[in-house]
Amino acid sequence: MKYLLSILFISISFNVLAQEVYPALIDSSKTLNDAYNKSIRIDMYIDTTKNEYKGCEILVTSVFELNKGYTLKLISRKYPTLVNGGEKIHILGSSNKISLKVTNVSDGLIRLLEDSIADIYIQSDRDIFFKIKKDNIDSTLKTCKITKYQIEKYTSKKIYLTNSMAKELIEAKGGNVFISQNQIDIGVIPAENASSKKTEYTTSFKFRERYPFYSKFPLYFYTEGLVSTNSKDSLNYLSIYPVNYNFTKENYELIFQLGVEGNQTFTNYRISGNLFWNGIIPNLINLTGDEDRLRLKPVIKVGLKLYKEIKTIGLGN
Amino acid sequence: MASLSKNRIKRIVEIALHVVADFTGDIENYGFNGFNDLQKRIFLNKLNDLILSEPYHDDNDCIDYSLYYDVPLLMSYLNSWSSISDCINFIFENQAVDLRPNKKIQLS
Repeated sequence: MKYLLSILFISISFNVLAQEVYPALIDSSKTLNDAYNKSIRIDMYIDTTKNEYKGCEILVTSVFELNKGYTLKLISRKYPTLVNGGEKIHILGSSNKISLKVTNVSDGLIRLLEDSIADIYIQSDRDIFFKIKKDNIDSTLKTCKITKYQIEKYTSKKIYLTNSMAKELIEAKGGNVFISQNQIDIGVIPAENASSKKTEYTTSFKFRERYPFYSKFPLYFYTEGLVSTNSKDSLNYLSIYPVNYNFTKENYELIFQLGVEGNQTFTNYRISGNLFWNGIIPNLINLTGDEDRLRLKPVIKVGLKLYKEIKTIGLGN
Repeated sequence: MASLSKNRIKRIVEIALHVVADFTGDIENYGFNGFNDLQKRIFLNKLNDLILSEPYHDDNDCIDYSLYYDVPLLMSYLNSWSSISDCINFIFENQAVDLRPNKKIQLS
């Protein structure tokens, strides 16, 4: 009985191996980044326009059934010691592509991916198998494979991030997307319009940077201001918040800030603690007159501010 | 089935859009002009939640709870869409199917 089972098992194995496996043609590949799962996905598009593949679609469930126990690794030709810091790679499927998703991406790896010379690719210990079918007709069912050399070729130099994408990935924590809010505007006020009667140059800015030391807690340094060559302009201000925390829920966010706010020269400033609720409320009136229109719901910001004012003018005289 | 149809994606986008706006007519005619940072963020968060909770239908139209639709979303992508139609097309073209990390049975 034992021998019979063994022979049966071996013959089933041979049957599986004996099935003809067609090499898949890859048309192109591209990289997508996901701020929610803090992941990077490389899509390899299967060419289904030629010969026996024409009009075929991938059977998605076959991607998971036929590929188990594989090992996929990120390799950098330039910085071999900086990758494989805990990131995981697994295979996804869809009707026209096979995708490789890199998860558990560290901030260090994201910064490395900003550097296009890191020359990163994915190495697989085996080929990826999947089934294709045309018009859901069983007789057209074929098993195909992407070889490990194709994986290397089509992921090579494809895994990189632009600066803004890298920032977004680093800042995305807890399933929410944040915007870096970093911006700088430079302007000129002609002499005839300037309060000083001289040409003035102004800069307004916002800058937010996440602290790297505790990655699970979204704590930021935040500063904003309006400064100009006329430092006595009463409109100029500087706000620096070393402690800034944002918490986002379904349709609102809660912001806590602790820092200093003052005029440009800090002759007059205050130590301030702010707590804001920033959210969306329903539209209260409808003035569309039954015309098709998109009416954005109003955003309101309510808050609490606690501060202690400090004047430095005259001190020391 | 296997893939989310454009009609289904349009319905998902409509639900997400309702969190930040009221509208009548075909949403594909609208754009993201006038959306501020918070409205964009809330729209994208809702869109992500809805796509993740969408049940996966296999080729025989049976629901497989061990799989889900994966669509990478980023604020940079939203900023590149000039209309809701671009958003729908992006989701349609970039959907893939992934195994749910925890195999909890979802009741819906």
